Amino acid sequence: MSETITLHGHPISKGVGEGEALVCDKPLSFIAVGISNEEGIVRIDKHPLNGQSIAGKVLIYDTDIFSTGGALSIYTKKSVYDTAPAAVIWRKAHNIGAGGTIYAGVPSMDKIEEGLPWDLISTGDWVKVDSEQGIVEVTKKS
Amino acid sequence: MNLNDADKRKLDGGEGPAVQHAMEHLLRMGEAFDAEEMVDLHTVHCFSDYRTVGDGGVNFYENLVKLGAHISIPSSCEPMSMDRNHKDEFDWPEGYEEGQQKIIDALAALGVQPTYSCTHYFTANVPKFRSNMAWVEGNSTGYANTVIGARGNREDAITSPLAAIARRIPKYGMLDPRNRVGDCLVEVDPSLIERIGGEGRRTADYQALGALIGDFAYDRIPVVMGLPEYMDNEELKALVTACSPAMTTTLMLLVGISPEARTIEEAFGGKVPKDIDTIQVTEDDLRKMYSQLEQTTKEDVDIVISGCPFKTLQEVQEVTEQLGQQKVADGVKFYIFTDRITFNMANDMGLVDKIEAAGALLTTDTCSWCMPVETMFGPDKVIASDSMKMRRLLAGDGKPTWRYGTLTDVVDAAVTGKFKPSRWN
Repeated sequence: MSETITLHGHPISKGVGEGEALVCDKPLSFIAVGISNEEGIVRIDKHPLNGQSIAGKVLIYDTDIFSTGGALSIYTKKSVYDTAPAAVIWRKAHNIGAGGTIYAGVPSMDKIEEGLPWDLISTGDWVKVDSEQGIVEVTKKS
Repeated sequence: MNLNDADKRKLDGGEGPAVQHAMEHLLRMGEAFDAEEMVDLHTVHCFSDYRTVGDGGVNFYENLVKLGAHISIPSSCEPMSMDRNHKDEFDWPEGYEEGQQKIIDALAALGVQPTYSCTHYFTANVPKFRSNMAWVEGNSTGYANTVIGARGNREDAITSPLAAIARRIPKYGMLDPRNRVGDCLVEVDPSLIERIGGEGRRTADYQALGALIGDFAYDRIPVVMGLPEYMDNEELKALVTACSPAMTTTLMLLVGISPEARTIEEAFGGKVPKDIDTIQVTEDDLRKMYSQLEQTTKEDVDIVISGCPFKTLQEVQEVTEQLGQQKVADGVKFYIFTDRITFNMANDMGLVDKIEAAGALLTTDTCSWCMPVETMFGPDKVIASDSMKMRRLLAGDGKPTWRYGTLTDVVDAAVTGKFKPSRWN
């Protein structure tokens, strides 16, 4: 049996989404030059998620950097290419990620009470984000 | 969140479906950041380039037009993806021009002033002390918060036009005066100030200094001590460029310069906290930042770029003087970026002719950020620039390789085809 833990956080974009976790402790930008709209693959100078696809993942990173256009890039990924993440968890939300996930209807949360999200969730864990309730269920990869 | 009667009326559709749609989003944004209320919005600056906005953004804008949205507060928009006067200069991917035209048409229908500029705060959309802003551009929001004392976050590309349509915005982040206090301290070494800047060097020097401040501050508000007593607009523009891509926040409290930081105590909200996180910035730190911004030691360059953020008229004069009678080397492209207002004045002054006679190109309305550089320039190209912002935003897998230097260095690179860094030896 895989271990399951429940975490609590602060809702940003309300909804429920689940998927495999893709985790880093660095800031990230959704802008097309950093994550392609068509494939959802990260291409940012020296970024730990380089070459990985964010599509359908529960994406965990520090906060949004670079262009504020990242909000429309989330919306474009969700509404045109189906390459948006299933949900997002930040240490601290920025307007960019908040505006984008709210308008696109991608569930998102920040400020996990139990600690830093990358200390609690690992890439490959199965994660269910319920930002209506402010709850994250993590099934650890066995 | 406390909504007043006018807010409630807007939310209930009393001002039509576009305002209602906007208010629904603004309410969710306000709740996400625990804002207590909304405030009147005084000025907006929104996106216009197809590369950033994407097909989702085209749909977003066209939907607002369909809902009957109109923007009546002072407005401006970011550079677009094309210089339509020099279309043949660049190899546009299929569909780009059509996508860009849809955005131009939608912004016109919404009533947005067609500035196509990232330095609109010098010309056509100028806020005042305590103006509430919904601006998407890092350098302009940084300048307005830091130098003018206007209030605004680096607003996201969706919330910005929606707030303008509703003429309201949640009082969060930099819009709430309670949050406009420093939470870390930067002390600039006096011997660095003696050597920093000057003709042909100020952009690269102050952008690199900004990056040092921004990397340290990251998501905090830095109080900066030790800057020159007087800094000109161009130096301040270069410094605050770090409000993106180095910082995620958009206010630097420059003691003696920022209107909310007449003293260090005022910058910290009355009293300097004990054990405040502090760094000293020295000449050696600036030297290291310059080398950190270099991706290669290869001397041969293909492209030279200057004008991010867009050049002011003073800076167009500066680059024209630096070029003098010299000619850009065969096989090298030298692009200088500015907006249409500045271009027209530069043209009237004969500067455009001089730049073109030298074999360089002064573009309008666009920059390398807004253009698809991966496909247009290619990953095998070496670019020399005096813009820390371009260098940081446009690097990585599939993108060109960058060299960083002063304006004088990059003009020399354009003329000789060889980049030879002169700073901080």
